[in-house]
Formats: sequence, C-alpha cells, structure tokens
Amino acid sequence: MNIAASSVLSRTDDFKPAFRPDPSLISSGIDYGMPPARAFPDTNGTRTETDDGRLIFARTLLRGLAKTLSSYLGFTAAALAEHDAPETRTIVTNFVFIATPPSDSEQIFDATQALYLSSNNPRDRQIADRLTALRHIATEEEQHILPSSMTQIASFFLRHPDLALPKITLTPDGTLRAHWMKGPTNFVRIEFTGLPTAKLVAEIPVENNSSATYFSSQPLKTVVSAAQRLGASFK
Amino acid sequence: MLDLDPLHHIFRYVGGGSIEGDFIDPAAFRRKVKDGKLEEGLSVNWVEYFEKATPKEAIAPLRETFVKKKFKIGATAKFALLNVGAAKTAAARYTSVSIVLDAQENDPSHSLIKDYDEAFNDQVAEELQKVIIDSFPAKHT
Repeated sequence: MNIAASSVLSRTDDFKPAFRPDPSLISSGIDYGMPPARAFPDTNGTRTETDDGRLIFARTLLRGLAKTLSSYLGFTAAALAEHDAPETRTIVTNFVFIATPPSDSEQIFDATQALYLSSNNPRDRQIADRLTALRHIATEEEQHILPSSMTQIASFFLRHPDLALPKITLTPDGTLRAHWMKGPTNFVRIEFTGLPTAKLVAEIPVENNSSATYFSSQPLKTVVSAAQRLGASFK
Repeated sequence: MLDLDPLHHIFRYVGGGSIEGDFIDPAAFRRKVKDGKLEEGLSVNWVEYFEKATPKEAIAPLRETFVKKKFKIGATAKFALLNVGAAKTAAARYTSVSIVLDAQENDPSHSLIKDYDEAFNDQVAEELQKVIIDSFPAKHT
C-alpha cells in the first residue's frame, strides 16, 4: 500500500500549515518570525521535501493570506474566488466581509505565542507558561482576563530582556500583575492595566529597619526607570 | 451591623489566579468595582461563627456555604486567615476601617471590611495581605 498516496499530504486542499499566517496581518503586530519552508511537518515519515511540496506549502500559505486580507479589507466573496479560480465556483452573496478586530482569545493567544517564540531566553518561556496557566485558572473560575493587559505584559517583557522572572498573578479586576520580591518590605509590583499607564507599587527599605511604600501610575514605557529611581530592584 | 471582636478571625476567599506558590497577591484584598461603582466593603467570613476548635475545621462548613450560594470555588483557590484586630491595625497605617458582621440568609458568617475611602483601596489591600496568618485550600481535596 502506498501510504504517501493516501495521506492527507497528497490532497492539496486538506493540507494546512501548522502555524498561522503572518500575524502582523491579523492583530497585535508582534513579529513572530516565520519558520523556513524546510520546517513544515513530515507527518508520515516518508515524504521528502520536493519542489512540489514547497509549491503546495506556498500555495496554501498564499491562500490563507488572501483569505485573511479579504476578511480585513472587506473584499466580497467574488474577489476571494479569483484566488481559487480553477477549483472553486464563484458564489455571489449579499454578505460583505467586514474587517473585525481580533477576538479576546486571539489577542491572548498572540501574546503568549510571542513569548514562546522569543529567542531571548528561557525566562520568556516561563512567563508564557505562567500566562497559559492563568488562562486555564481564569476559565475554570469563570474569571475574565483583560486581553489588552495580556498584550501589554507580553510586549513589556519582550522589551525588557534584562528583568528577572517575576511572580505573575491575575487580579480580580482581570488585569495581570508582575511582582519582584526580595522580602516582605522590599518589593516592586507592576500592574498592566490595559491603559497607557501602569500601576506601580514599590516598597523600599530605608534607614532604621523601616520602609517607604510608593503607589503611583506611570507610563508603561518609563515604569521600570521610575521604579529604579525609587530604589526598586528587578533582580 | 455588629463589629467583630478584635480577638476573632476572618477568612478571605482568594481565587487561584491571585496565588503563585505561597504568595498571595494583595490585589485579592481590593474592593471591586461592580456596575461602575465600588462595592460597599470587602467580603470576608467570620471564623468564630462556626464554633470550631481551629480555623481549619471551619473550612468545611464555609465551603458548604459557598457551594449552596452556587459560588464557583477554584481548584487552586484558598481561604486566607486574618485576625480582626491585626487587620484593623494594619489598615490604620493609611485609614481606619470597620470589620462588621453582614449576615445574609444563605451566608450567616458573611462580614465586610468597610468604611474606608476608595482612594485607599490599594493601600489597605497591601496592608491586609501583610497580616495573613495562614491559608487553606478552598476546594475539598
């Protein structure tokens, strides 16, 4: 029996790439980086990477991109049909595809994927694991995670590769919070509100075994330097 | 509403998302905004109401109360134990608070930490977290 001939790989319409098309076209604008064509899965263990295979892959990918573009730019079904001309009949409908923003779950998925795909360090993978765990907890407890908070925390850590792994929690308000703690009176917390400003709480030891506590809102871009000016440590 | 005895204790339900390892996020002690308005007080439960020898023994009947209220208890959620007097003293770093019994028909030990301004919501939460005595899994194991 010819396994290759009966596998899904021989049916071009069934073959889909294992990853999503260029995410910058979809939602968050986070650069995923694309695996090389050589990386697509060899599911039956017998297929070699021929030019035909690459062609199937490229064609499928282009089709996916065309569909994504069409749904975002409001193309009609007839315009989409041009891409599938040899195989698909043109269907004229009254429906217009309307550009829609990414769903909550897509935003959350994109944010964690960006961390998983980061070439930075194991820290980002640990953060992604923690965010994934929080997603599961939120689902189980019928709690909501603010997607914009998830996007912010992912972007924040990609922008700050030098910060140590914090503890990350989900607040009852649906926002995510990162905590760097050296002790009960020596810590810094950043809450990703989904707004341009983050909530900063820092407790810093001062003289005579006492500590000073700071509560403020800071622009997300400068929250780290603001905390460091107070004497907070992110190690 | 009846003020709770400063020598008595309260439990605060903390959802699993607010917990990582032994750490409990102070945000679990913030009053929440509901329908655009800050809730009247922080919900807690009066431990001595259950008349058990230890706080740990009060967990089972409290859990039953939550189940009867159809409250979804998370698998990793906990009940944090605080002393009433210590909680009031801790909050007093910023503002005075009341801890009062707010018994409900289906939750007779229900109590509230209240009478503090919205502006101190974060500050009071930070201080309450610091005086957690112990914590217990909320879900039956």
